[in-house]
Amino acid sequence: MVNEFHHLPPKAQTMIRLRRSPALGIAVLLAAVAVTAFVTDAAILGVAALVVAAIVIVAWWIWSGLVYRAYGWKLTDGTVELQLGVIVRRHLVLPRARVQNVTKSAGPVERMLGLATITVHSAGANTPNIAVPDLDEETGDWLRNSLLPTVLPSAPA
Amino acid sequence: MTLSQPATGPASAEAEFGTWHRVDPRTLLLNLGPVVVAAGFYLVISASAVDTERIGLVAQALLPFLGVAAVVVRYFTGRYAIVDNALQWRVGLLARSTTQIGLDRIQDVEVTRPLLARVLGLAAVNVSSAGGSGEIKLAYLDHALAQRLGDHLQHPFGVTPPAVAAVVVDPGTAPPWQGPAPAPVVTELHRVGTGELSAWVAYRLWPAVPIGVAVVVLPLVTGAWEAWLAVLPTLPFTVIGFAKPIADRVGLTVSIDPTSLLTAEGLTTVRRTRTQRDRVQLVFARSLWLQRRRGAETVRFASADVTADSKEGSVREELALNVPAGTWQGLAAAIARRPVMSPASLRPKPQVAATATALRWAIGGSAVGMAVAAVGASVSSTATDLGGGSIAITSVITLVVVALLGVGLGVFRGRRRLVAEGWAVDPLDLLVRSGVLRRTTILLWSEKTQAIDVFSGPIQRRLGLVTVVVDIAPPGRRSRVVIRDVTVGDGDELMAALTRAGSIALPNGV
Repeated sequence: MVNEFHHLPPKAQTMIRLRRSPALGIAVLLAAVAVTAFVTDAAILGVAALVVAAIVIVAWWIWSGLVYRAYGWKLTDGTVELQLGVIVRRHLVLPRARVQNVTKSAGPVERMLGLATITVHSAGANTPNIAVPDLDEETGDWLRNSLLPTVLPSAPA
Repeated sequence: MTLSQPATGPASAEAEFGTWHRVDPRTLLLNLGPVVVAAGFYLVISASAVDTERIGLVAQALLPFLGVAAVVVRYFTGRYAIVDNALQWRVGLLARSTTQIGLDRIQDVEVTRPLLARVLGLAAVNVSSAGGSGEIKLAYLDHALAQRLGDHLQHPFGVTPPAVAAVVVDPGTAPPWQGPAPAPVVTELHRVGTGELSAWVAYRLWPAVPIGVAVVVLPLVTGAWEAWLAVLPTLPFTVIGFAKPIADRVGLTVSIDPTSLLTAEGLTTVRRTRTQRDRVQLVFARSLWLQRRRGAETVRFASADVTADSKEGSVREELALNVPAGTWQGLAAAIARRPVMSPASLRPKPQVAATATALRWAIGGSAVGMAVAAVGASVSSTATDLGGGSIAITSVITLVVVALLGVGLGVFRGRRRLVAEGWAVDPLDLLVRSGVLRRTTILLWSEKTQAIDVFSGPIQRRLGLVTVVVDIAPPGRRSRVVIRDVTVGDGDELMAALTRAGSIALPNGV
């Protein structure tokens, strides 16, 4: 078993951008402000609104890319692990002996892109403990099936 | 579920609980009383009302009768029994439901006796399971019957659950298939006396005293003592609000038998609980500032109750209310059947943890300072005729003062944290001490780790620190143990140790 973190598939980047697309609403709003400003001869305001709109779009694009690149997951003999986060970096570890159930879910857009999200729960109130978003369907199936153990790992010496 | 059947077993329990029974008929009396009173009240009002209003009032009076019907239907359709090695509860006339909890899945058994139920000689039995499949509440049974059922559910006939049998290490309990088990030896761990209870109350309520005095005295001083009349109606509720939690803890007694942890407590509502010792996840001691100065602590425990009930988060779980500091160790060892980790092995936080605290408070102080300065500037520019220059100077001074205050508090707090906080881990235990004013010492059985979350914010990354969060099974506020600001290396060590411990197979994973 490979002991390095796997990245999400490239298509997941599209999905992550789409999830953050509400940010583009601000850009559209600013563009509308700019058009109104140009019509009413307030050119400076119009230019300012366009500049801010451009900044919003660039920030959205770069931020989504960073979020995508921050994700990493791996399955070892004893654990399932997930890395995520741009500003606050997180590393989640769930011992496979504590896995209670595994869910595979995919919304319409995810299905169109052939992606699925795998959620791993353990007992207790903080579940789901690990949610690996936007995996390839096949990888997701493989992960889900691998996480349902037939034999639990034995206790360490 | 295929479990081997018993060769012999206590026939009386089988006869008593093996067939379907309704709850005690006195339940009707208890549940209908308030509803009938409400209905009568409405009828009296409707009789004295004028014609136009009467129809509406009569319609309202029908509502309590619907309540009566619901209580009656619930009584006549509800039946319980222990069938197929499971406690089963069926209820419902039109929509029927059956809840069953396998005897080997029973987590806690709680026998409660609210005041009115006690008057009628009744008790409620609450059975909760591990694994989120819910709970069964049998309200109400005859008190003696409830006791027998409660005891029986913890020592059931004919059950040889492999998971539970594997973890029962005490020779005191013979396997059930070898005939009736001998009565388990119960050892009392702790009994709360009057002195302990009053100390516990005092440490919690002293901040309320000045408020109470102010409410009474202020109207006298200002001469506006009509204000008392406004407060008066809330007085009974206030008194009950303060008295009920105290009354519920009167005579708290904690004991163990080979398999269970037992508690009994309460003055008006008597509550007895049984928790499997193997499902206890952690023991923790907490001391308020004044309490710690007097060398005392309050000890609690948390077990893996996974029932999806929002009220579970507020479940009382005290082992001792006010005992000499360090008592938790003995209690934890008694429950765990082994010596537990001592606070002497606690490792301190790194020096940079104090820096991190100071930085956080400095940033927070600056943010608050900026907000205060901005509000001040906008108010004084509209409400006063101060010049722009003097407003700017005042704003800058405000900002600097508040920010410095933040830095000062942060530095002080950071230093206190270095003294107060610490952690230690080994294959059996995780010990974490935290808190500057209200200090908490948590002892988690390492194997109860459900998941580990290691994270670091920008400040922490600069200083080479991480925060380790250990997710565990108990619900509510007890669902995580947080070890803030340890070095990256210590974080890796914690993660490795807890991952190893968390890979030990446990029944149901809890």
